[in-house]
Amino acid sequence: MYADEFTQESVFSRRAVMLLGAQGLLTAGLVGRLYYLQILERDRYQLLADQNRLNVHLIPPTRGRIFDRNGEPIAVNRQSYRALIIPEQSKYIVATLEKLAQHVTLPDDVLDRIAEQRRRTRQSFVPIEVVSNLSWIEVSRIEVNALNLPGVIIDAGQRRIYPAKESTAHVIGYVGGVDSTQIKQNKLFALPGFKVGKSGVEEQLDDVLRGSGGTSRVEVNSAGRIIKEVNRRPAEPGVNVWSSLDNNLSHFIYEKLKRHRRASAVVMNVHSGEVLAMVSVPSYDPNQFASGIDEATWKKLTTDPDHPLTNKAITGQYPPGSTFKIAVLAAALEEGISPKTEIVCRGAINYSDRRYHCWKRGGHGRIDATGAIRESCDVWFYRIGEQLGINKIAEYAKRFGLGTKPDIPLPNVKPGLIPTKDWKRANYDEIWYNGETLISAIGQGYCLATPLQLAMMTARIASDGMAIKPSLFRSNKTTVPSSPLFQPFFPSLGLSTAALRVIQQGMWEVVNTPKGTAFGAQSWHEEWKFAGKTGTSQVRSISEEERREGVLSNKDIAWARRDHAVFVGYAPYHDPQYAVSVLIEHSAEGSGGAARFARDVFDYIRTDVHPQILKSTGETAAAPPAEDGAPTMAFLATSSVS
Amino acid sequence: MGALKSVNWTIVLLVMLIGMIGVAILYSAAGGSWGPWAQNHGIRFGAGLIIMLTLVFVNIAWVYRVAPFLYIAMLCMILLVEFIGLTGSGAQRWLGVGSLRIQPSELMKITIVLFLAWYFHRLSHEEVGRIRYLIVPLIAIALPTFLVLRQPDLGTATVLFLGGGALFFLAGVRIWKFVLAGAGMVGAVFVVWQFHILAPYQENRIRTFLDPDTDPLGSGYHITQSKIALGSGGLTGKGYIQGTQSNLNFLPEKHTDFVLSVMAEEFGMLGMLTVMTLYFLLIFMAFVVATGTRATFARLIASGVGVTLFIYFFVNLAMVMSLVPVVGIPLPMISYGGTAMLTAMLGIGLVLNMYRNRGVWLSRTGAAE
Repeated sequence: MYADEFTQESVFSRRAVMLLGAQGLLTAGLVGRLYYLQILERDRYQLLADQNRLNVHLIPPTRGRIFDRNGEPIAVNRQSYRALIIPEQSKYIVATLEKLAQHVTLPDDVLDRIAEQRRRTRQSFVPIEVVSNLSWIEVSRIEVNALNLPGVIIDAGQRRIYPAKESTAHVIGYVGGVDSTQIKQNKLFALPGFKVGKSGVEEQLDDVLRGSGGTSRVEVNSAGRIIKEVNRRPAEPGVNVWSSLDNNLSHFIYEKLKRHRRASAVVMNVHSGEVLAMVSVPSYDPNQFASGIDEATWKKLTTDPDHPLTNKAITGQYPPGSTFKIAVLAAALEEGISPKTEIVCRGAINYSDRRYHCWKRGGHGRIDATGAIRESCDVWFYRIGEQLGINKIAEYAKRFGLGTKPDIPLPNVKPGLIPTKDWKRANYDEIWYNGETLISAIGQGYCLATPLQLAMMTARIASDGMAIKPSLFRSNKTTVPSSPLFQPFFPSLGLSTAALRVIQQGMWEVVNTPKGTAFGAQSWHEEWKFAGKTGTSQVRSISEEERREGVLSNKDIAWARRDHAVFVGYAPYHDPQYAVSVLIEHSAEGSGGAARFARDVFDYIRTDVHPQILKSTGETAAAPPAEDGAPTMAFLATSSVS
Repeated sequence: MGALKSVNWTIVLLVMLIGMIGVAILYSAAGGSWGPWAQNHGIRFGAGLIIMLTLVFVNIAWVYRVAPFLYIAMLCMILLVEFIGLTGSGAQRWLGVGSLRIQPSELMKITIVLFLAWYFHRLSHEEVGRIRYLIVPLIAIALPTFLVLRQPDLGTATVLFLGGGALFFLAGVRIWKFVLAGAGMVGAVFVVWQFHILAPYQENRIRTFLDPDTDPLGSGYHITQSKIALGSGGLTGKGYIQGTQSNLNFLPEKHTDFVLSVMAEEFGMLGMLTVMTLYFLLIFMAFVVATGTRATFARLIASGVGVTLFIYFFVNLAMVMSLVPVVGIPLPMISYGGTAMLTAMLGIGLVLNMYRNRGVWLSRTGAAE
């Protein structure tokens, strides 16, 4: 033992205790920290842990289907299949693709696309699309050879199908990929291959048809690989829409109109405003868009001088021609001019240094209001127009829905044009010349209307002056005025019955009396006699458009110089149900041809459309066949879609 | 005294419990699998246990005699790392011998305790008070610390430096010298930093060295995920092998430095307190053994091992709890990693040896009595 060892030992003991104490204090600090993290902050970290491990995947909803008024499909969804490849499960991607190419045709750029995708994500468990729109046979060929195709999987999606093809294309529209500018508007839009409505009803009702996405919460690891699904909220399918269209009627009209280069026609119910058909030619097949349109086809559609993508029934603005005389006559009768007012037509009148011709060179002789409609006497309307003035004419034209944009859920609906003195001052900075009133009174000059507006005007006459508005959705109320359940759909325009009778009588005589301008087109079915009004719209104003389109060949010029043929009419005359308007651009057959077209349409309605409507009207309409748990069918009543 | 009775079974029991917890957590960290860590860890732990218990029966006088040579040998090995060492995790720390990878800087933590205990044992209380007797031990600490810092391995350097300092304190170096040294270091750091004695890039390197949080995808990510694992564990944890942070691989280094995050996530605060209690008891026992021995050498070794274990324990936990920067200190016997386990078990073997030889008196030349 050394002398100082006791000192050393006691110093050591003291310091050991000090050190141990310090260690105890530090450990207590650790415990405090532990308490803070694990007890006080627990909820926050629990949330963070969940955010780490849970990923939310969007489940795309099934798009609502669109049916015609009889429950026939217009726009529905069909299973579509695509082949994907999972890089990590396929050791030799190129070799696998070569084998796959023996069973299905692969796109040329598939290798580039896969290489691009592989550059973008290192996660080799993320599938890459190889080929889409596989037929069922191709799918089964891949499935059978699955063992030789490691990493190739089949993914089932949905694809929009338009069974009615061209005949309803302009009304229904089509779906297509989301524009890059819209992607932020809805989370669903960012889903690969998600489709939105691009035109027609598909575009206008996109929100309704789309439905809302579901979510699948999945647990992922730090590399993003899905471990398991934690929970799932299924997607809510879009609302099915029951349209007012009649597929068969649309098809019938399309097949007939197709013979013409450019034409359009509208069929409306004169009480409910339901549009039964709206056809525009040339048309296009919307299925091309649903399966991804190729550039050549798209270019052809967009550069075609006949504008197949344009719905001429709502976008085409034409001088209404003599069909406008209906509105002018209404104005005259309401403003106190007697229907007995007789004017002598000598084929032309002079008015402030100019000569205004009637279409009939020799003149109509002495003629009254009814006769002026029947024979479409221009001179009678020049005189009456002069008396009324342009502002009065405009006032009544607007009552018939001309000059204002029809309230219908379609894109590019045009308002037409009804001139007034103020309008001319505002747009031309010129005063209105009275001669222009004369021209306007026969539906030429500045006047413009769309075929839909002409159909509306006709429906308003046929329904004894109700403010009919067009609707694209099937009504579940009866449209037969004789039924005890019938209730008017729209308020009255406030026109006198006397005036309406004169106009209706005139329109009857147009078709059914020998002097009428459409006498040859009359129907021989007593119950289905129809009334109407012919029109010829001069191409002068339209030809500006033609000029913009460039040089036309000789043959085209001959065609392009012809006038447009217009006819509006309604049937049956004694119990009006349907209004038709048809406009054939540069028609060789004139307005008589248009009238015969209307007769054929009424004939088809008589045999194939009206019986169906009588059967289903008034009763609670049966919903179209439901499949895969489709949601409740929505009746989009006229009033709710304005 | 029988051979069995001469062993401190309390310490052995604590070590075995800690080692078993290590195996259990590593089993869970692998998602409920013996591979790749739990089985290896168990085997190594068994080997370590044999080495530890063998060490108990080594003659203390012999330990005393070889202590300085062991230190020199280990210093040489660290130097060797400098030239032919293997690189991993951005630092050159390992020596490869066949399929074995040894980290000499880790073993140095115990060797330096041996060396300083040997050195201070030879000094009287008077001599300990004289500055010139402190020159050799200061160099003995500074050399390995400097070499390890160059690897670079701030964590091990810190352990070496703090461990050495603690031994100075236990050996009876006067307290005012610690105060002075502390003040001097603070002053030096201040001068170096304030007057930009270092090149800007060196300053930047130090800055990121001290504050890895500035790199959110690097060390910052580690620490964030560790805190989430701890916090979401709550009081009782998510259950064995149920930790989402660990099983879905959000937790980095979950088998080595952050192994306790797995523990905390799956067993909560109660699990953590259990591990901490066991570990602290082990450290406490080392001190108990130290105060019961007759020889200064034995006292300094037992307490030195205790302090070294505590530094491991504290720095690792503080790191996991985001109290100190991530410096790469494992928790021996629980973290996967052979050298740290071997270091700790060699140290504990020494403590057990000192317990067995607690009545032995050693002269300043090393003769036992």
